[in-house]
Amino acid sequence: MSYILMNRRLIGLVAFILAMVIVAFVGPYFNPYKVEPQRWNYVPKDRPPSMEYPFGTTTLGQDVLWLTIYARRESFAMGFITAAISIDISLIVGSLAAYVRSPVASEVVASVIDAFCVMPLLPILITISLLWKQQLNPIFIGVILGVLGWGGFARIIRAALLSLQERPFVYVAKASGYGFFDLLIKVYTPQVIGWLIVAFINRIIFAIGMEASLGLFGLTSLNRASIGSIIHWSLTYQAFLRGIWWWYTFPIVLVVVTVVVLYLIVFELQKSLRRGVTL
Amino acid sequence: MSVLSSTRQSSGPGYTTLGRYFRGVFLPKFIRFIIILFVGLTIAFAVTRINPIDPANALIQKLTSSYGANVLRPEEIESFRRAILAIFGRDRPIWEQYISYLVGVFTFNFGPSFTYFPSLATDIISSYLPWTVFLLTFSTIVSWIIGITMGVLASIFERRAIGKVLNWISLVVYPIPTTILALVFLVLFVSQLRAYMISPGGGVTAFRLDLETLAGMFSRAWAPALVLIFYNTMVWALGTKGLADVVRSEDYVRYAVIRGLPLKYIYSRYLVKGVLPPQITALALTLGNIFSGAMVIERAFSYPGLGSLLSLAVASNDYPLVLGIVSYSILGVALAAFILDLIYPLIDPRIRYGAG
Repeated sequence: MSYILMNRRLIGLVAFILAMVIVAFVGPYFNPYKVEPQRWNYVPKDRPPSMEYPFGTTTLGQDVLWLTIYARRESFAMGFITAAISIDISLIVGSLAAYVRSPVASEVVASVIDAFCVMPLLPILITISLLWKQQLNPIFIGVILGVLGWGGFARIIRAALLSLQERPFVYVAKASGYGFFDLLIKVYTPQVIGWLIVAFINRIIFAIGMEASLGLFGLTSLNRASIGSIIHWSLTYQAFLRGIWWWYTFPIVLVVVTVVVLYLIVFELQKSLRRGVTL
Repeated sequence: MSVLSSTRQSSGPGYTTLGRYFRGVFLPKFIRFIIILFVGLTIAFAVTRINPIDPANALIQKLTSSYGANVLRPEEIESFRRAILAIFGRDRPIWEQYISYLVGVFTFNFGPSFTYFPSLATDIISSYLPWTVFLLTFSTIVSWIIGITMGVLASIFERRAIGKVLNWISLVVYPIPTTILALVFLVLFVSQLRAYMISPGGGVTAFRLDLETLAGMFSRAWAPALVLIFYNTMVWALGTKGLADVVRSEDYVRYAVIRGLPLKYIYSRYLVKGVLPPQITALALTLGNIFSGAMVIERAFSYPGLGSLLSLAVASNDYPLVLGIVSYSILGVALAAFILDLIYPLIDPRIRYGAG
């Protein structure tokens, strides 16, 4: 903990993200329109940024500022869900791969983990979204992303725990009768807690990117404010060719700032973890 | 063959090497390939079975009631019905459906596409496939080589401005979603520079190995390829920088410096050699991500590859086509990872000699 408090850059980055999260979750309560910003035609169409509409308005008659704030909320909420689910699966499967004694079983679990690393997730995700088109919402997408996107981190967990298997305290724990879940919670998890934080943030970045990709294919929650639906509608109404740059520029810039800051946090944390600083 | 001949001199009689390669590398990697394929295809299958709506019934109704009855002949409707039932058929037990799906994947048969009836889904996929393979192979190899070079340079010149700039660019580009990056470049190339023409839909020419086709491919591929190369180069550069930093702090490298070996020799023989094996593994593991990224970029630039085809299929609810694309994506990526696994011993002598 003390390392984190010493690292000024890390504190600044985390404070920035916290501010963004607070704006995203509190902002909607100050919405001046009394309707959700993804509704159509509550403001004039195609207005460039001005004092009245700081981020401009869309061809659908939406205020881009409030659209963006709501979209940030969806992105963060979805990211948290994805991260929470995929981290749990990674932790359980990764430690199972390190825990099992038989070489065959260990290889099989490792191969299944590899399968989830190697698989092209986007086409599978697109298929799911196509079949559940009517039910798409951030929670659903977040859950699906969490269930599918745990491979990479499970691999890291497995590698980290395999090197622990020969350490005395693991032997002691096993000899004193700890079962798999006792080991998982009391012995394994404290050893990889730093990596859990890193992976959690990484999965949020992953979820935000995947949702944007789904929007490009027109398969996200299109009747809600999300970065994917902004991309979809601005493409559908050819904002790129008609010079309505504010429609997509502000949301995209905010997403880029969010993911870059999140990644810089990950980068700083990783540096300290590699140096062997425990959190 | 080169794998085997290169090992022959140093490890005894030829048949032992062959046997060792087969048992030590080929067999485990082949089993891994089968497991990856099995898991991927099972997920693709499961996803189409546990969905709330019944696409088969919905589609048959839509076809026969709306325009189908007037436009299509009865035997065509019947063939539709059979195709849909074969793919989504719930009249048979689930394991039987699963087997017939797997058989469909390996016999290249997904029935007729709904949008391009009566063309077979597989035929349509195979006319788009060369475009994707062309784009992916080219951009992946180029960005892997440039990225590793950049990462090693960034590590060597860590304290100079050039190293810092390289590191920061890759650090910032790495987390940006491919979709966003593709859109930024799309705005730049299409509406700002007016350098790239978007030809929405269609425009797919049959693949032939002649100059004209290749030139046509290149004129369509340069912009998406540029985006892919840019992004993936940054990803590889960032990873390589981290690895090279670790290798540089290893004792044997320090010892080489103390021993007075020329720096050039240390960089090429110690640093690059230490970075390559893990980056081959990383390439095999991220193939799925690279493929997904390529699909997004193809779709953004309307490049006639699998990404655009998938987008068309999604827009028209063409389930056989979607399922076909997903299955072949999994098959292709797993196969590419398997091939990388097989040539890995060429790079890493520890695997080649069965040690470590």
